[in-house]
Amino acid sequence: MSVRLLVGTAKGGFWVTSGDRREWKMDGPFFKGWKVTAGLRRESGDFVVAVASDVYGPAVFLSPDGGEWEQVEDGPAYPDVGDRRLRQIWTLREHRGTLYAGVQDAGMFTSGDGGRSWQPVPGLNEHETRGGWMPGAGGLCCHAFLFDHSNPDRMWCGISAVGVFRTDDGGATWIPKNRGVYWAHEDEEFKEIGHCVHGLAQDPGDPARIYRQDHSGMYRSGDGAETWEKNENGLANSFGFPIVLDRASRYLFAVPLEADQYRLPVGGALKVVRSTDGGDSWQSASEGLPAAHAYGGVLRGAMAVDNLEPGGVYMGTTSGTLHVSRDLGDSWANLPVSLPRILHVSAWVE
Amino acid sequence: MKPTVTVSLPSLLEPVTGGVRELAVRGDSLREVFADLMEREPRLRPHLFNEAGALRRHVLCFHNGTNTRWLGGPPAGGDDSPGGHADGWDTLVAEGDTVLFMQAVSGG
Repeated sequence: MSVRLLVGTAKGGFWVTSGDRREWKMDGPFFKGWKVTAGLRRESGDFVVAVASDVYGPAVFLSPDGGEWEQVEDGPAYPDVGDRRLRQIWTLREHRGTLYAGVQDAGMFTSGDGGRSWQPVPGLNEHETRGGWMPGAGGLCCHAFLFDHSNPDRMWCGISAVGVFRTDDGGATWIPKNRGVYWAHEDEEFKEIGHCVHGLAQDPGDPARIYRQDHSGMYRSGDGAETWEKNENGLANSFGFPIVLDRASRYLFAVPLEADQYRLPVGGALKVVRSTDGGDSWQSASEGLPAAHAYGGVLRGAMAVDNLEPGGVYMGTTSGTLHVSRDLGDSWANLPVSLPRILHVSAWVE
Repeated sequence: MKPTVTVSLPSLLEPVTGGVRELAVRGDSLREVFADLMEREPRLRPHLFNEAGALRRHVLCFHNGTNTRWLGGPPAGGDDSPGGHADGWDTLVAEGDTVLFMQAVSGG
């Protein structure tokens, strides 16, 4: 058993591997000079990675082994109408053999052939509220997908500064589901959008139980996002970006930042908060993390779990530091690396 | 036989082309040179050209050392560069000409 991390940075990707989660080996960079913005390991074992360049734009690459890469020729793309542009791919997921890409400018694309060709999802991309979609500080991006393993027609997505949408008809139509969440900005016409979801996590045994790190704080839903309630007991700061859930323990992890004009670790101490009771309460789980003069935040895609027992938790910061826990956040190790700004972290067991 | 033109690419695009930095392509004009380049390396298209088919905003293209945006002629269409550009894509090329792509400093 070994753990492989994909660490995507603003200047390339890195593999970080370990057989015991104590000693780590780093290889890279690959895609040197490119932003590595999202990664997926398919059920087949193949890798799918999204890259982007401020000059040359985004692309999707495929690899059977993480060593040899081939760019997809028919990647996600918007038609030549209006001013919508494909600027970056924020998330890649696989569900029931279909690949999903969440992109900026906000939209969703799917692939039924393992990522070789991609089609837009017009029910979301051309949504009736689209005229009211406003970009947040990170851009107008679709960055999170959740699936209902008991219902193939139901799925959720999160769009920054717009909100959570749900489909119950296999993606044909999408309905904003943000009742109970504070507005980030109120649209004059479309009152059901303007909610800035930052991250989503889901209970693996109950797909209707969803956890939401939002611009306006921490929320959860027990009814498939029909309604949301704040769950911030124990959180001195509820602003942040990532939220991840360990499958076996159901522990939740998030990284609080000073809201929202600062977006820095509070007091210069990098902290992780953990909930061991489904979000009823939160406690610090930061032993070993830099406690002073740490000013790098953790972006929404830069935290991951490996789902081993006990679970490993991994995160990278905007300062290029990389932090690993092999005991569900009870203790952390700071890897001796200084990477470019870390955009993405994925973890896979091999 | 159409003239052969040597196209040079920046190293950042090596992952796209599998390491190829230089290609011999054929065409009577820059427009035909670009078309042949896309035929040979279709994966370059989204990196060099925008959705409308014009050069991406921060991509520079030089024909025999001259910025193609200075060559005049009708716009390539849909160029999102500030103010638009007459890209000179109908400029005729000759055997042995060079076309160089690189990124503009404006790209950051």
